[in-house]
Amino acid sequence: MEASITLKAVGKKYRSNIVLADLSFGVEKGTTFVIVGESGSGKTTLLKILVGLIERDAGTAYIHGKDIETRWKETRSITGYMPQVSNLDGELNIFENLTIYGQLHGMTARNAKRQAILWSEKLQFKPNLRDMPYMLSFGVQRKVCFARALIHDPEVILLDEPTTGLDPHSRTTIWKILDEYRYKKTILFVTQNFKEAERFSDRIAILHQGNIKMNGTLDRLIETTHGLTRYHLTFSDTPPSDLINDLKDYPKVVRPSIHGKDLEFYSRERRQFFNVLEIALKYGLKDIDTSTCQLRDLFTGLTEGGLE
Amino acid sequence: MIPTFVVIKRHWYELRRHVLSWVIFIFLLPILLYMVFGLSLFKIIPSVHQLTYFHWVAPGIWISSTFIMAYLTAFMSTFQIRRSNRLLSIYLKAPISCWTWLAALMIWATILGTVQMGVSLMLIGFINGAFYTIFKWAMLLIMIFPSVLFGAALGTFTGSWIRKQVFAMLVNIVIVIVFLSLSGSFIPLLYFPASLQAGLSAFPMVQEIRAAQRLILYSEVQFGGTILTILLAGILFVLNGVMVQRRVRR
Repeated sequence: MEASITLKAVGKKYRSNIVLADLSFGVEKGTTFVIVGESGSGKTTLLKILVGLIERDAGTAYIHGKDIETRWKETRSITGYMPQVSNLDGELNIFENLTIYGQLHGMTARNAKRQAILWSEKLQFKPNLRDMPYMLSFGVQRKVCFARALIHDPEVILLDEPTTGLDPHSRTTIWKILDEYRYKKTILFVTQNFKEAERFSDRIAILHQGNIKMNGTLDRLIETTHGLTRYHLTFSDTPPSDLINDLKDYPKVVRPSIHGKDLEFYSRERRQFFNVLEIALKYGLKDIDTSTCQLRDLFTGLTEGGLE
Repeated sequence: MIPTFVVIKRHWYELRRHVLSWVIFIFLLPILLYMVFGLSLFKIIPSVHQLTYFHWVAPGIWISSTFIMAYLTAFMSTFQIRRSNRLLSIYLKAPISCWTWLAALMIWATILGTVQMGVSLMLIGFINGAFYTIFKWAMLLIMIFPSVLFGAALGTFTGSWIRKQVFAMLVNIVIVIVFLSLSGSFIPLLYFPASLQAGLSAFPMVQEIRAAQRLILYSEVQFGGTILTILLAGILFVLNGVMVQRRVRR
């Protein structure tokens, strides 16, 4: 498949703080690529570089095969970007915000107006078109930002935590629209919501301290755990900390941790689970839950020292 | 639509929300300058080169009011963009260069400055009962116009590099006070010490004001100051553009 977004050894630092370090990856045309990472991992910086808001210090980046530095006019016109925080122009009403943005991206005034009305209907903020941004709730402002990112029908859609702060209904509306675009446009979104990442991605990358730690389809990522299972044991009372010490005798019990009345650990061997169960029974075991590794587990493992 | 016009349109949308206060301001500005400086200094300087002070001060008011309007418009528009990330990020994300929005801000400030120039010429000319020939009015327009360009260029320059509101206020007050008191618009340069006179005369805007005054006094046409002011405005704009281009995405 043809590449839509390509990054080669991209680096960025703010003063002495390295935000992105030698970052390389590619996103294929018409796919949905998700980047998950904790706060400060460089997700927003990466999107800002792609969209032209900030310059990178090293490396090269391409959108649809065009260098974002030398052919910025073309790359910016085919890119739609929704920032993490609402950045609507406070001096213009919502309708003007959308139409001016559209015209800045090469739309005619008439087309921009038509699209602004269309998007306001789609995202149910038509009654707010004449309102100023400060008059709107955070959720509506986010929806306007989403509409603004798509008003000029971009080929590449970059979304920074698109559903943060939205009510469940608006969240569903946004995902329904993105589902319509799936396989037609390239969508790159960054999020901390693992459920959304699992549900809507073709590929997922885990960004940690400015570098991609893992990159692939969800199934492929889960495969790398080689059948690691998460066990969740609930006790009637908070278990003593001795329990963790007891578990240290079993090296194949991975990352045991106590959270209140719960004990959580990972293991590949069912036998290890029975060993733990034997010890747990001494402390008033109440409930057991097991599940295969999910993205959240993989992420926690990768960013907090590994699942081994 | 040409992106420059889209940016200008955006600023027009913003202005039209408080167009009444702006209209009041453009009418009040030359009248205030006339009343505050003209009426008070008339007692101390009754005439300059056989011309009553009110007639002598007219070019100073025309140039000062247009300069102030162009400067403040350019400053406020640029300051707003550079200070709040909202508008800046919209422009930076759009497929337009920094030159486009800087040029748009220059043009926008020039438009408002030109409107101010027209209002000031009309008002002060009417109050003074100045009946000049069409040629003289045309020459005055040509001589005053560079002050609009210079004001717009200086406004975009200072607006691009000042971040703090308090500092912005101080700089603007200083620029306006220095311009009004040292440009020779209201106090004739011959009232200043000889050494200062020589220094001030080197500034293109001061030369331009003096040329406008000489046009009223002796019907002499001099374009030296006018050309230099346009040149200076151009240099300031290019310098600012280069610096903004280099720094804005850092």
